[in-house]
Amino acid sequence: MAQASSCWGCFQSLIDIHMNLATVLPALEIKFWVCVVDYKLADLEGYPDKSIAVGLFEGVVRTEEDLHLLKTMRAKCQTLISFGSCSCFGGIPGLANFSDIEECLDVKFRENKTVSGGEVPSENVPAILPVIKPNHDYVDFDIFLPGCPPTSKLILTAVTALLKGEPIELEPHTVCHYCDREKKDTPVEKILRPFDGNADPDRCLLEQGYICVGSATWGLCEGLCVNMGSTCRGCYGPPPPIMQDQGANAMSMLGTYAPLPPEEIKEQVKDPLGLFNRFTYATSHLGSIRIKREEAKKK
Amino acid sequence: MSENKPNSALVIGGGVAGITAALDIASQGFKVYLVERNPSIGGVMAQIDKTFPTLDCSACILTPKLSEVSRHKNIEILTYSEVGSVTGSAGDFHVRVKRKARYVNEDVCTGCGDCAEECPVEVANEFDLNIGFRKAIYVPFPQATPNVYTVDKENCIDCGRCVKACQRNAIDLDMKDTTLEFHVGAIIIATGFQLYDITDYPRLGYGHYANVIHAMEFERLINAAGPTHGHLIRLGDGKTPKSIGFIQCVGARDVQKGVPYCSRVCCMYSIKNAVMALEHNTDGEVWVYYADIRAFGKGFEEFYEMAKKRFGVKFIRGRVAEVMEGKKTGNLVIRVEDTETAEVRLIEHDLIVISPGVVPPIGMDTMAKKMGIEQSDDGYIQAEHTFFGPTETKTPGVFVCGCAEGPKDIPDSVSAGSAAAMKATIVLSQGGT
Amino acid sequence: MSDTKEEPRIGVFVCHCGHNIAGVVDVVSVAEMARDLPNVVFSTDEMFMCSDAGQVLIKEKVKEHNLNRVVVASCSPRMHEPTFRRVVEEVDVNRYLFDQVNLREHVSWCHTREPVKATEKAKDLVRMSVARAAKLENLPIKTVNVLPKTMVVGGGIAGLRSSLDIAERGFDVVLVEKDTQLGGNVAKWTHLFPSDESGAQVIGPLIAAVRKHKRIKIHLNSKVSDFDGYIGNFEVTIKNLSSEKETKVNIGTVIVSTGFEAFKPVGYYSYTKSPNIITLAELQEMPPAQMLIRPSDGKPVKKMVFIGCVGSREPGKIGHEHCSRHCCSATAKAAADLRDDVDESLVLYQDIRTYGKGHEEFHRLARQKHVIYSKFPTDAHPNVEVAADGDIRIRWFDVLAGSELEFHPDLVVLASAMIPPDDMAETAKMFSLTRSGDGFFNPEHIKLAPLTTHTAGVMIAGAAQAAKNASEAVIDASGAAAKAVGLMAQGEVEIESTVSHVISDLCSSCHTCVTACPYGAIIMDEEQTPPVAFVQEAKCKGCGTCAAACPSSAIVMYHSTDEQILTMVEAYLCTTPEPEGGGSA
Repeated sequence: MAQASSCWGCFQSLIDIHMNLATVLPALEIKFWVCVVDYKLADLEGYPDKSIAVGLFEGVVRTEEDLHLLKTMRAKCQTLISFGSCSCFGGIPGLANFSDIEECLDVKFRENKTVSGGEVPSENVPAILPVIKPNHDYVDFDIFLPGCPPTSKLILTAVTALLKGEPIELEPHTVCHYCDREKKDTPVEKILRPFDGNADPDRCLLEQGYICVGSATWGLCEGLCVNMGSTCRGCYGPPPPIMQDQGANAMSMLGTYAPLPPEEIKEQVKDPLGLFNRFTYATSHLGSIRIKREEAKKK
Repeated sequence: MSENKPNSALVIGGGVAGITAALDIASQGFKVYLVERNPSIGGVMAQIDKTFPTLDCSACILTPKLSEVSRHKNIEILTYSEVGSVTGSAGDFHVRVKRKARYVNEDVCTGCGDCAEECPVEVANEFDLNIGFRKAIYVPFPQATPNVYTVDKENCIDCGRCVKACQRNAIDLDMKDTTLEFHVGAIIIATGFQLYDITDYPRLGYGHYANVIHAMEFERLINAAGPTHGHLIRLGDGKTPKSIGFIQCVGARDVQKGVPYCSRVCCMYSIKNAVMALEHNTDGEVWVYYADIRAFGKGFEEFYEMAKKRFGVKFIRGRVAEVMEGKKTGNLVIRVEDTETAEVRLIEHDLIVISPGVVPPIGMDTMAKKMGIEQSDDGYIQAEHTFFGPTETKTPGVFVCGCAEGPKDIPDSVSAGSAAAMKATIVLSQGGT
Repeated sequence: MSDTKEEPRIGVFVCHCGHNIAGVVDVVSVAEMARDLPNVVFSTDEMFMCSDAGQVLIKEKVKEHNLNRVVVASCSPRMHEPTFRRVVEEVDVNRYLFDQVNLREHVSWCHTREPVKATEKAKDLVRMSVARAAKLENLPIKTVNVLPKTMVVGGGIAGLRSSLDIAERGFDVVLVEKDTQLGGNVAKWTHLFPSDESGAQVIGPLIAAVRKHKRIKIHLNSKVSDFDGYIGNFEVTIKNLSSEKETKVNIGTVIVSTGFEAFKPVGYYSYTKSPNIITLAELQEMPPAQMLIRPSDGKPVKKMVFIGCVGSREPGKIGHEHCSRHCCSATAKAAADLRDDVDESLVLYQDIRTYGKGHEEFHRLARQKHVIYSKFPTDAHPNVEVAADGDIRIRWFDVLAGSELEFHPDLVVLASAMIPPDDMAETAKMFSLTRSGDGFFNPEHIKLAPLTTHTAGVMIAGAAQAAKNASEAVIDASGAAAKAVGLMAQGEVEIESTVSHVISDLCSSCHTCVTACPYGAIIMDEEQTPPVAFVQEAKCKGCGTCAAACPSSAIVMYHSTDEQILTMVEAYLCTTPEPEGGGSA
């Protein structure tokens, strides 16, 4: 189990299978899991190729160390799983691609408002890559398990199947399939921010004007957020085929569905990037154009 | 449908009206015999280059229809054939069709053209209004339907080279005319029209001056599949005409010549030809000499406006008095009274195109008399009643559509074809009662 | 959708189309290039692919080379796709395994002056089509049944004629008329042309026959309030305008014969400023005895004038640019008929369009009777003024005389335009019909399909299609009836399989596609929980809007799948396919 640049939330979700750990753990021989068992990177590098049955790779490749870890995992594991939306799509860190890396470093280090004389650390810190490319651009994965994080239930399903040696069967439905709200088919009159007004808990949120991208999102979560009063933010990425552009789908849906002129939609949607491609910017059409541009700069 | 009564129909004439009627009857499940005296169906529309008011390529919109007829399981095409006699009455007509020998076996010929390559005889091509040539063994035009060759026995010298060239042994120079007999419940006459013979107007110079032609000859000249591959040139000297004059109402609206009626299509086809002339030569100048501009149909007035405003076609209201030729240049000079300015003008042109009026086709009188169908004073088939039976003839079970009833443009001929088909199928479904 | 697992064996046929294509594009080199494309087994060029020779060639080569996909590079598919589809079907190749490349309208006709570049473009297009052909799949040929009942909308002369023809042919008719009586405009006229019959004499027998016929059900004072369904199976709601009672009917075909309205030319020639200035339509509605009595004071009309082209032939004025076709002839007949009882009769005209059978003859008759025809210029129309005492003064420039003339008529008859009825927009929307510049309905093809429309199963006839006279409307009516019966007589009709399809597992029930579909072809299947979208294939036109709008990628466009389209893009951008490693889901 490897962690690149990430929040470790996916692994927390795995641990969250709770009492089921009692069933799962004994069946596993953990060969590498920083923070949980005491194996170092050198140990991982030392294993023979393809000697590890299953590997889970969480997080984006942000630094050269991440890249090295990814390639090593690929070499050592028979089955490599892209674990969580960061690993699958670039996730929230992927949004950094929107800005030039130097700009990011300025904000974080050089012109940080709470630090004086800030500098970009260079000692004992791996080099930062100028752009986040989706992990699958570097290596082939055998399985993708998106989610931010993937729910414990989903992880348990996946792990159970893996242990039995069976294929992981995932329902292809979108979030809407699991959503309990009622659709009345009324047109969207105005696009609302999440804090505007009081949402009717029984009616479809999109219809009420709150932008929910559940229809463009894989429902592996079984409608967690929408059934709890929040719009879906798309953290599981698009439904199969999962490398399609989730943001483009959601935007074209909104454009068709809302009887508002484009200028008004543009004005009312304050953060299109954060709304439509929050987790999938790196794998979106526009995102890949960015990546190509960055790479061209290098040449 | 009555058991003893035939549930098939006869359509005489394979032009656009006849084709429309045949398709509409066949699509209801009845059988149709489509008799056409030329070697191919298609009629005059196959000769036209572009049609008004859309400037659609005529062959392009017609060929799908020819294909549809050819492959329709309910339609039997009998080309190079004429109706010999018809007896009987509505619901049960006994028809005799004379099938002229084309000396080529229709079922075997694939239209490959090997025979025509070998044929040593060249004759004037009537499809191209005798401007171009064809061989004595020929297809009238590339999309001819059926796509089989025909031997013009009159000009064939019986050398037999085509027979040897044909790898399928499709040619039989000893073929004889045959007769086909069958019964039909209803008949539709769709025999079309011909153009008035404008040599009847010697003052306009057609027939003596090389650079005076008529509208159909113009049509073949501008057609990419025509004798000059679509290059509009003067036949006298091959030069590209810069200034062209179109003369209207020749052989129409002329009581003295026995054609008092309006030919209905010439105003529009001339405006179309005028526009085509300018499309072929953007530097050119086109003048139309007219009595009235009858742009009455859907989109016609709008097309006329476009010809004036966008293309700059000039219109002079005046019936041309005479056309004179400049011997050295071959150019023509028109003498006309411009009635709007009341001056007599002499205008020079490189080419004159006369727009002949429409008259009943050759053989109309013979056919009508043989079949006992009443004609109008103008020689067309008389429609039963303007409002109650515009596509019915005075003979029950016999219908008429297209120009056989009177001059018409393509849309009106097509509507009439469908209308006649409706009437015919009512007869067929009721067994003639 | 059946999968076509066999290896694609593609045949390419490049058409010269005489000079239409070959005059600009080097078709021989295009055919040669195609020979080396992946999966191409045979490639050739031919003079006219649509001719019998071309069609036989396809059939022969399919058999000879065992082709299972055919690409024809020729004219627009709108021209010959049906032709070639039938040809390949005759040699057992599913029609959806055929693709047509447009080298004429898209290449030779628009790039006439750049033959080299045009040839390159032609090669690109053929390469793209070959790539697509390899991905095409068999699609089933579907038919829908056609109910043997026609709805005729509008009970004027055209509607009556259609109804009778269809009924006599043996099918049922539902005739809907918004007025309280049948007969439309013709019923109102006492005066017709070219015959001497009155409107009542012409329309009476038709109305009687329609009323008597067992197969015709008449709904007077009614309008169509809802129209749903698809060809062969339309669901119609007819609403009675006074009682508001609704009747639902299922029908197979529709004929729209909603006629015209006579334009009331307010603002032209002082119309409404004097009761003695009337329209030709109003004249035609008067009983014969009343025609020559001045409306203002009952005195006999001794001097009358007709003015032509009122509200017609006005370039730039939307809805009034067209020629109203019937008026010149109607005016000539009216003038000739009434001449005997007046002292002076004038016809002021721009052009005299007495084009029809018998029309020129009574134009001549009118002149022989000394009806004075006076031409006014297009850009200087006559001026009509009404004095305080009611005297009408008309002044105009006579083109032929070359002078200004003045006339004080007792009666002015304005030959005003034939325009669409005021609820035309509503009718157009109800039946998904489009309208042309003249405001009347658009036929499917103005030359060769004047009576059918782009809405399958809906025909148009009479003045609803364009301004015309009653005789022409009758011909249209019978013609439209033939089209309707053509669909009903066979009992079923084929529908296109290039339609969209919802993968229900992926559907989010978001209704986006339902909203997006311009044809209302998508409904929610309420039998599933949650309800999922469902495409009614007979209504689908394969436009692809739903597939593009669907956020869940739940919609697949048969015959235009993402793969089939993207492979064309790749074929265009990459001339040789490059295998890629790593990174696919």
